[in-house]
Amino acid sequence: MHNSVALQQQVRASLGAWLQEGGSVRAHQALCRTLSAIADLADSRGDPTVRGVADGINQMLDMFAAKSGRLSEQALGTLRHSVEILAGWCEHHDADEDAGGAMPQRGAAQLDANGPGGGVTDPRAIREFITDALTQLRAIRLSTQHIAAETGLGVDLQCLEPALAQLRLHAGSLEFASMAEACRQVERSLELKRQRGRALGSTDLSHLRQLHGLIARALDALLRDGTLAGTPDTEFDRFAEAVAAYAEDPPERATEEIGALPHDAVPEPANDEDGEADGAGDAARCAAAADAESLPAPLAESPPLEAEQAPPLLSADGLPCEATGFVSASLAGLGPVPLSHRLSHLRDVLDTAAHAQGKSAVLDLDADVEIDEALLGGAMAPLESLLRCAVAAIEPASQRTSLGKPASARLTLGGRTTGRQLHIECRHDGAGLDVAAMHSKAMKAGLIPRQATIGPEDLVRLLLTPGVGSASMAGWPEGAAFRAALGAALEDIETLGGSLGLVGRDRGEQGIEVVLPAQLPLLHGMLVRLGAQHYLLPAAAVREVIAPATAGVERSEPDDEPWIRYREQRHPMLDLFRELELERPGADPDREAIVIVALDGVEIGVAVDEVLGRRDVVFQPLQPPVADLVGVAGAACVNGAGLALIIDVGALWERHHPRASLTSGAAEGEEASHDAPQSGVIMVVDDSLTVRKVTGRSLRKHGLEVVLAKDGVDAIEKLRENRPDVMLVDIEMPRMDGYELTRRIRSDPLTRTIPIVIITSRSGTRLRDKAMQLGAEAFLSKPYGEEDLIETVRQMLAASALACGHSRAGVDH
Amino acid sequence: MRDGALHALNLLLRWQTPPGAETETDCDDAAEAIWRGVGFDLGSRHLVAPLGQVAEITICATAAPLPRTPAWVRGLVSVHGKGLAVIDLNAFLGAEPLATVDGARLLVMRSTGLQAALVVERVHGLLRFPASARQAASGQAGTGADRYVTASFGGGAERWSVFDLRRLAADERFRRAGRAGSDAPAARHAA
Repeated sequence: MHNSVALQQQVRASLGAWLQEGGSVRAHQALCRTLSAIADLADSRGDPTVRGVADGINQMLDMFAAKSGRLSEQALGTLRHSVEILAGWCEHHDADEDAGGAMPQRGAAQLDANGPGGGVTDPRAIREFITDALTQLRAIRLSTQHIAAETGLGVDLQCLEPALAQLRLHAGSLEFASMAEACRQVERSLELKRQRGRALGSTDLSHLRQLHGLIARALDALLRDGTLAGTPDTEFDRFAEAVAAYAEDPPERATEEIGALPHDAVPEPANDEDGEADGAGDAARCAAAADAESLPAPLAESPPLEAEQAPPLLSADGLPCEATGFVSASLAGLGPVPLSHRLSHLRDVLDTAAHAQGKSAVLDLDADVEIDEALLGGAMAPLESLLRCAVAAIEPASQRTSLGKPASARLTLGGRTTGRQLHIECRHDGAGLDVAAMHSKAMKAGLIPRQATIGPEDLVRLLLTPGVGSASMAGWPEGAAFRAALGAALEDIETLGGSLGLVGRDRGEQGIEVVLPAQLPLLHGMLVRLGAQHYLLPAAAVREVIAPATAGVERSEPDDEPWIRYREQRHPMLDLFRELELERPGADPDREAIVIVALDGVEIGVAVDEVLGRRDVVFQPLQPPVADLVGVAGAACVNGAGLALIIDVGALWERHHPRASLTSGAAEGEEASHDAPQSGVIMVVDDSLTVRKVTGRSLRKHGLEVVLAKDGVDAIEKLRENRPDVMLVDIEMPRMDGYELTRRIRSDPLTRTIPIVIITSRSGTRLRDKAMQLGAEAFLSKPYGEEDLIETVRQMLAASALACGHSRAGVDH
Repeated sequence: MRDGALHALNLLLRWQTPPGAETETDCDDAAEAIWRGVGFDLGSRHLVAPLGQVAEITICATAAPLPRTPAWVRGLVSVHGKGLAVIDLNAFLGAEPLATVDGARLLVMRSTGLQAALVVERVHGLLRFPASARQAASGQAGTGADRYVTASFGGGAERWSVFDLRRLAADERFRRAGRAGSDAPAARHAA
């Protein structure tokens, strides 16, 4: 039997070698041997979780080999993390051996009992898990969408299976046993289907969606509470059982086949209203929202019929990003989504509106366009309003027949992008507007100067003007409805920074065009309430939310500089009420939530009255006369909360704690490094993630700032924002190689003096000569040691300081 | 002003040429040039802003308060998706802050590089005066609103003072409303 302490060191070393050698066969085999030794040891100790983790790692290594040496950053993170878990287990196991007992298998239910401070509730591990799980959930959701749309089944399974495997692995490594088991069962059922040569069906899709919903909800709970204690294991367990039963004995039903589901009926998980701070009622609501698809019999708690009629794709306000769960909100910005994905939803809206007015209309899409999902979410409400406009413009059926038009009206949507704008046009064959009549009426009223050019946007304004707009709608029974819907659309579109225009002046085929900026400055914010006001904190900086009356929060004495202690960590507090000049009648520590915000070098706490959850909003910087307002980064319109200021907590903190005191920690770190501190910014350009990471780490350890670029093109882009003091450049890279990059750097007056160190695995003099000719200063041959690297960089920094005549780098010599 | 009239006025404002000098007159056809502006009340005074200097008139929405700004900055409102600083003109000019009254309106300034709206007691809508009736203001050394008054029309109870929004926008004190707090960090909150 292996000695567990030896194994602990061995597994870390094997991974290190594996990473260093870019997954060479030798390193691969060594790592596999160590893993199987650990797994055997675990088996002998009756600990199946460890076997699962080891198996998972093996699977990832295989994936790595299959993808010829490329793993995503997240996958690498998971890999490292998993190995750490094994190493940690070995260490524990050693202690257990002394005590004469096996390490108990801890399930999620026991997690809470273990309390904070246990290895599993390590906030860092949890954060890593959440990040990783989010990535995998996206993959699952995208695959699910594609499967539902019957496109590229094979391709999607290739993404789906690793995503499930990685989720299972990571969940297992954190001992979220039920979640890992649920993933495993779904994986297995898909695998079985494939073995049996059967197509995926609606039940499989439903399983994927349920799993997505369950995990999303668990993540929300995890984020909120730091443990999975609030998530009932039983749901995962029952789900896993249901999937297992289905996999063993799938019913032979024709309706099983794909196509029974609308394209876009992927439910929004965790679409709850009450925000993250409220845990109690979440479960039921989320279950309804996430699982509103047809459920397999054992799980069907909400009536599926109702859900089918209204797929909870969008909340009532049309903004999927308004979902308050962190996970669901983070999923909002999935990247570009074709407008056609929302077509069936829009058709539903049209049907309802047309039906209400006793009309009939069909909607077609004649030109699809891809829209950022977050933006599309915001654009749905105005698009729905425009459909209602079109319905109001449709003549009654009798009138249509007498005009020789088909009884059913035809609406067409068309999208296109031009430069930085996105246009969506909604045309209809209903009654046209008499633009000329409206024009002359406005002219008579003296509202339009004689020579004015009237653009499409101006026409919309005219339409909305009482007494003027109606002039263009002679004989329209629903002119008022048209204008109301148009007004609503305009208001929503303006919030997104866009505009509306009337296109087509002839009565034939008129339409309304929406113009939106293709790229909006979207901000992921955490909406909080202080007194009667709402504010947004940039979500990227929010580390944690501590719900009101959470146990284990220790507070400073009233006369002290305020702080709280939570999970072994002490956070200084910033009084946001005072900073924002808000009245605070009778602060009650038990009723306030605390948001932990990570600033440069310190994690501080701010007390708020309520945390309403994440929001994706359109960021507006403050303009004069109130620009430069310290502590307010900008503002944004938030549905249901009006205009909310975006608070720059860092700036407020610095008003009281100037930066010098913040960086003292970093200074200590520098002193700890064994050499004299030398500062400088080093850009590492290499297409190998491993090289970037290892090199970056070595440089940072020596107090150097590091900018990483993955190839020449990336480097050129990063050079626009950073001017490094030294560049380390690999030769062989995709898109733009090291030679070309060197040539470009030397030909740009702004960058020509930056010393370049060429890194190459070949040491032929021909390559060197070529690089020297182009202007490289030095060489490093792969693999290079840390000492060589630092020495070379030091020389370059010193030379560069001399050459530039400024002593930024050489000041300490 | 009724909503309909407000809407029509806004439409008219839409086609105005961007900020012109207050002396601009509209002399397209008539034998006599006509001077046009948006009339509003401030305290007991009748003021009129040149048409080209007003972007829009809107009703008063509740403003999100901005910290560390002078008392005459009411906060931020969103108009057509844009955040505008709401300025209590009365308070800015050294008088009492305006009480919230029914007729109060926001007069959105048309000014490049500035997003601000003034709270005024009442808007009278579009006013027309014969350009020849314009009386230049007596001097520059006025106080309160007079510092921004460049001319007037009419007399007695029907005297309308031309309030130059461009002069207001150029005022350093007005432009730097957001800096007020940063000059004296934390002074107001010293423990």
